Amino acid sequence: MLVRWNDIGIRRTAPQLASWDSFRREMDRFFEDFDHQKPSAFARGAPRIHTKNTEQALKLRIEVPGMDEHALRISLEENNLTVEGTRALNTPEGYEPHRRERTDLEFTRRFTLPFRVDAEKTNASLQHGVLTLELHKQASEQPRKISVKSI
Amino acid sequence: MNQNPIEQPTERMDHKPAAVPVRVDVFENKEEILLTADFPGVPPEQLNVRLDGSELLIEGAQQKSEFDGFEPLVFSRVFRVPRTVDPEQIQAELQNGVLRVQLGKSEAAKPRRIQVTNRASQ
Repeated sequence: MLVRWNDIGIRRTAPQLASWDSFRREMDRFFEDFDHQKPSAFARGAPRIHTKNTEQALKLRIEVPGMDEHALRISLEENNLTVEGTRALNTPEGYEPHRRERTDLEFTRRFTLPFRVDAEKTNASLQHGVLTLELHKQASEQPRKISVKSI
Repeated sequence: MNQNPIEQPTERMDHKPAAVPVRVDVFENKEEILLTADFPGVPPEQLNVRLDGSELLIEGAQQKSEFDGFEPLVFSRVFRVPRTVDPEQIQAELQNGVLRVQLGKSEAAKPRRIQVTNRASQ
């Protein structure tokens, strides 16, 4: 994933550009970050997903940095939920890449929900690169309190 | 591995979960160095972009949330920035959980076109 700038070609063909070399070395030092730790497995293609199940609803939290609403697709068929997302990272126009640690992402997650969803109350929101889904359970699926009458 | 003082925990890390090195892309053109990094779930007010001498720190803490098993992460990374960067010309913005830092180069570091004067031959 790491793309290093290679200046061998320049050195060979144009030795008079030696000053460029020192500039390049300077630039290369930008690569020396202080932590030699490898970046975590996070963002290797599998988004971090968390859930929260309550009596009324199931909530999902999916980390989707760099995706806007057009990059995400959510569909619900009966109790099958599918969430899809993609992002393609291109070198911005006119820039040279020095370092590429971030990756393109493409994921599909399917969930079979153990309850019927109240489609009217379903909502999805995207904030700071996190998708939150709220799937309300149909009233008939929610636990009911049965009052006990003393006879 | 840990000789550099910058790697030692500092006061800003105290009482926070261990920092996760954030993945970055670095690009360059004549005008600037562009750095992009993923900070999902980090609100702008929790983001810290700081240049201290030649060290650029990018750091952000995820917001807490009620989800089961969710541990908010602190993403962090420190870079040495080349001298060609003008400290007055650094801009950062956050969009869809992606931080973009633009490090403008100082005028002296930008490539310059030198005007060639044409001297008519006699």
